[in-house]
Amino acid sequence: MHQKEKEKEFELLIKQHELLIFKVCAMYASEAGDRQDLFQEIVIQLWKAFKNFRGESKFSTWLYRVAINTAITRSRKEKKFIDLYDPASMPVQISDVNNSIEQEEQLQQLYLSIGQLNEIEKAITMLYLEDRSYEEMSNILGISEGTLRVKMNRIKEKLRQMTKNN
Amino acid sequence: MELDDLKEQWKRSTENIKPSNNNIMQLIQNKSTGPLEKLKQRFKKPMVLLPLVVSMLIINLSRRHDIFSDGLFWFYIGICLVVISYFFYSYRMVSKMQVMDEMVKANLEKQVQTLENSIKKRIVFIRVMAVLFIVLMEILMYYQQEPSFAKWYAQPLLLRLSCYIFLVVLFYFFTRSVKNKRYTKLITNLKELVSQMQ
Repeated sequence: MHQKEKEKEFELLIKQHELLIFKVCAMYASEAGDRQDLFQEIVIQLWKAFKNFRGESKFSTWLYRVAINTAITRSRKEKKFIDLYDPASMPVQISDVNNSIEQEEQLQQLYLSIGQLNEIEKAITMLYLEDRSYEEMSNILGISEGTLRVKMNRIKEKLRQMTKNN
Repeated sequence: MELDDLKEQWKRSTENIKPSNNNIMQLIQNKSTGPLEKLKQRFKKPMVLLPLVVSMLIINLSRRHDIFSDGLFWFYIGICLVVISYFFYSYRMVSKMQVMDEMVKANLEKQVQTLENSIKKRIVFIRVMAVLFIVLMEILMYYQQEPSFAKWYAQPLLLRLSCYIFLVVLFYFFTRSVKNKRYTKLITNLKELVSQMQ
């Protein structure tokens, strides 16, 4: 395929899946500047890897792999992240949804707790919230479906405990 | 509130997010600012700078006499080639780690393996280089009596040997401290992530 055509195809695919990248950025970066940097880094890595994309898996599966791998590689240096985590950085803005004050507080707690999960748990949680099947999650993360179910239950329990303690 | 309660809100939220004004084609023209790219640049710079420095040394040497029969010339060339190979090898290792489209677990495992292997090889390489440097210095003395090192060769053998031993020990601790400072924590973190995926 001609370079220009390849670029056009890539641009179109990224525009179609931009939201997925935003969500990964929101999950792994706490501040607006960091999120923008991560977005750019993910797009660069996607472009580098695009030459090898043969369509053997769904585009969204492939995109999640690159985005999560990039985010994990980058977030290794951002250990301050856990302390500074801002719930407002999540794609679901509290103000977007009409909740009672109590519900909003609970929601805040839940966001804070998600921010304290480790990189792998964040990836599993995000894919779960995205309603991805365990089969697709397994294709993205490389963990067996059975292990993923066990991990998901543990994460839910962990979040429950963290929300209670906060 | 449970995670499942958030699921619905998470789904609904996507309807509120407007498309960005990011110019994708412009973004991909930018250089990566990720940690692996920075590491790659750290290895790339010496590959460019070293031949320049060695060329200057050789030009300086060629003013004195025929360089091809000069042991020092081959000494510079040898050291330069070996050091460039070292940086090239390191550069390639990081390039391999930059492939991001594998499954997350496989990618992390690959990074651990690549890092561990390359660090081991690089440490051995640096230590061998220190020894090789010493051997070449002494060879130059016996076969050429290189005038640039005349003062050094005039020193008693015991003093030279002590300095060489000091150099080897220094390199040993230097490589160990660089490994601990730069990589041990990183590898431990990566291994921890991999173990969480078992």
